[in-house]
Amino acid sequence: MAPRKRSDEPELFNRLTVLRTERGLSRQELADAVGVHYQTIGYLERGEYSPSATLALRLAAVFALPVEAVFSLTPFRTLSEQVYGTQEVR
Amino acid sequence: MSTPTRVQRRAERLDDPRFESLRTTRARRLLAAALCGLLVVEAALFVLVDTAPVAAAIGLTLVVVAFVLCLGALKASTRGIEELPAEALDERQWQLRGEAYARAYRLGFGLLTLELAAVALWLVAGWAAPDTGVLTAAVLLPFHVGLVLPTLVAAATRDV
Repeated sequence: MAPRKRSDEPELFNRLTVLRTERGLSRQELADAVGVHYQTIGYLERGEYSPSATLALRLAAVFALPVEAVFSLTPFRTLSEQVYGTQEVR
Repeated sequence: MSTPTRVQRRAERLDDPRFESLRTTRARRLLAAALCGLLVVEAALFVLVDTAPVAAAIGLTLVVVAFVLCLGALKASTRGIEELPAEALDERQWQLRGEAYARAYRLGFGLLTLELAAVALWLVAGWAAPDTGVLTAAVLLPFHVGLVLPTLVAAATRDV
């Protein structure tokens, strides 16, 4: 269950799925590391829940990255775009 | 490793993966509907208390057992977010609990207003005093509804 979003709430994009997979962490392991329920990680990854600043900072700390590398108000560029400079075919 | 507290044990029990089948939208809504049905049956049985006391007593005993089982299943379906203290929940679950309580408060207030309006109408119209069973139901049912309303609202109104 994700809490209802306010209509004026901006969408928050994140790289949690990529980072978690890259580090070989399960949702449960990441949840335990930041002290939340494993379902909350799923809601965060799907963008259905926006974390508090504290939780966002904790998540960034787990990956040893600045918070803006994990969360952004604008969509992140895809990996292929970043590595090869190509645009994703839509 | 420290011994889990009573709250932690309760949280673990309500979060048990064995109850995952109860956590689908359909299952939660069915359980919520079943609990509402039990409240209606309970009210009907209280009306029968004066005319058929033995049948009503047997019926009420069965309703209580079904009520406890249904409420337990319903709490497992919501992982007990409406019941557990803050330290057993994370920030998303706090938000869900807050939403469930706000909605339950509005709903409960509406139901209480309706009940008071019915009592006022009864008094103004000068109708005869109701039977003991109806009076007992008028006192006990709001208590039971108040008891289960946050769980009902959490289970029935939110998508998992």
